Amino acid sequence: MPHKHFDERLADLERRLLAMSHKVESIVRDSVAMAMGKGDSTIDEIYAADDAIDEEEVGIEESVIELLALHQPMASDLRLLVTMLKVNTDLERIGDHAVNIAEAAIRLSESTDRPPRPPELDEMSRIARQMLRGSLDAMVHRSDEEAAAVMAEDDRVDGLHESVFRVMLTHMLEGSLTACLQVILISRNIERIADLATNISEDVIFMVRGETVRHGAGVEPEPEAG
Amino acid sequence: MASGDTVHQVGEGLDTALETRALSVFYGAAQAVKEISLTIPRNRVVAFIGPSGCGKSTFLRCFNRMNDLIPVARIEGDVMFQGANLYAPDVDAVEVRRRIGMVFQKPNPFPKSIYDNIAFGLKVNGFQGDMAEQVERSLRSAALWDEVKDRLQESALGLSGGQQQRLCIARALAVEPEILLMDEPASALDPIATGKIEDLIGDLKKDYTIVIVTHNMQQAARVSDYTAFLYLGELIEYGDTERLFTNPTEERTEQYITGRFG
Repeated sequence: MPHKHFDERLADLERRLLAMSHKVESIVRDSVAMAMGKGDSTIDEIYAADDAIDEEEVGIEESVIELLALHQPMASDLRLLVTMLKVNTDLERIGDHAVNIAEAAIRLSESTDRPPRPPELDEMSRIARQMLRGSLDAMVHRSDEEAAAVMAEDDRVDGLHESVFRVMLTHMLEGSLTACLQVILISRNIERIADLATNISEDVIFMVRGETVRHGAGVEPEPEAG
Repeated sequence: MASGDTVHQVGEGLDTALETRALSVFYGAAQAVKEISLTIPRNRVVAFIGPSGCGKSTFLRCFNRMNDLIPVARIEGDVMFQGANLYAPDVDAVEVRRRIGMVFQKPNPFPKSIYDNIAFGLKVNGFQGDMAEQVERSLRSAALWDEVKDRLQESALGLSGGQQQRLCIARALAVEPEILLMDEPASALDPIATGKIEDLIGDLKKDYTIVIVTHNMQQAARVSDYTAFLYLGELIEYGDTERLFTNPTEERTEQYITGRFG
């Protein structure tokens, strides 16, 4: 049975997950800065940061599996560990999207035709990182309300992505195909990052309430009984 | 959730095998079970969990009047079984125990042959049918037949602990009860024997209603359809096992099953 040791391990895992999320947030910021022709990160630095995130993901997963096997937790402990496992995977994927953005940024910088870099990308990146931070904060605070607030932001990112897509289509008609494709790819990857932050928020709601809100099922808090 | 007037029901739409109404048990002045009202659905497995001394075994023993055997024990309230109160004055406790069988923590085979362990209860109950056939059927139901069919005349005491426990289950099944009560049936067994008992419980619920008391919460989670959490003689929470172990409603249940009690 738990439990001093178990509680310490849980708290430690949560700290590691938070530290990983900070790394993920940085890599997203740096890769989008590359895409916007700003910042001073190199692609090698992005790769190295992603490798570190991958390594941390494996370590956290091993720790979660070990705790599940050794302590067979139940109720809120079980939900917390399962949520950590999923958040861990989502964070690692966000790192991959950041790499995609950085690689597209390199191709964009090497491209001969240069479409304007739409300012929406900066805004999307800002909101997506805010969502990521908010979703992890919601986990730490055990707050389904904070998680629901994060999810509500996803529509803004989707809207901005659509706007980028339309603008790029117009440019493509003017002939700058390759570069525009890179911009669309960058936008698409940021949009996916926001989706993953939404997933994390959904998992936090599961953790808090014990009910699934994925695939559009009841995000609103339950009405108070009586 | 609190004990008292409300009857705590689970398994909507299922027939009820047993129902307690404001059931209390006293040992002298001490109240071990406090006005518990709940239903046990037919052909389902219900687990009682709770810390030592919470009243779960005492509560279980009310279902076949085993507490009658304890001189200082006193029962208040009703246990309804097929429309009648088990504690009505005209009810024969021995007949109750035939229809509601019990398996205990430690296997307690008679110091007789494997065959006679099963046949004994049948003879006592005046069984008129084919004895050998009934012995085989009982042993098959308890998933023990293949292991003992060639040594039926050997002493039951030569069986392993897990086999002895399944023999006791076969003995309980031989008299064709409707309900099987199990008080920590696997706590004295190794993991393999425990696994066999747990598998057996899953098989038996097709034909029987099973109520099990266990200290092992993982076991309760694995074998039961519904779980009741008792604490200090009160029913704290009763519901679907899956929900109770993943998302309990009551704070005390949460604390108990996550090991943060007290």
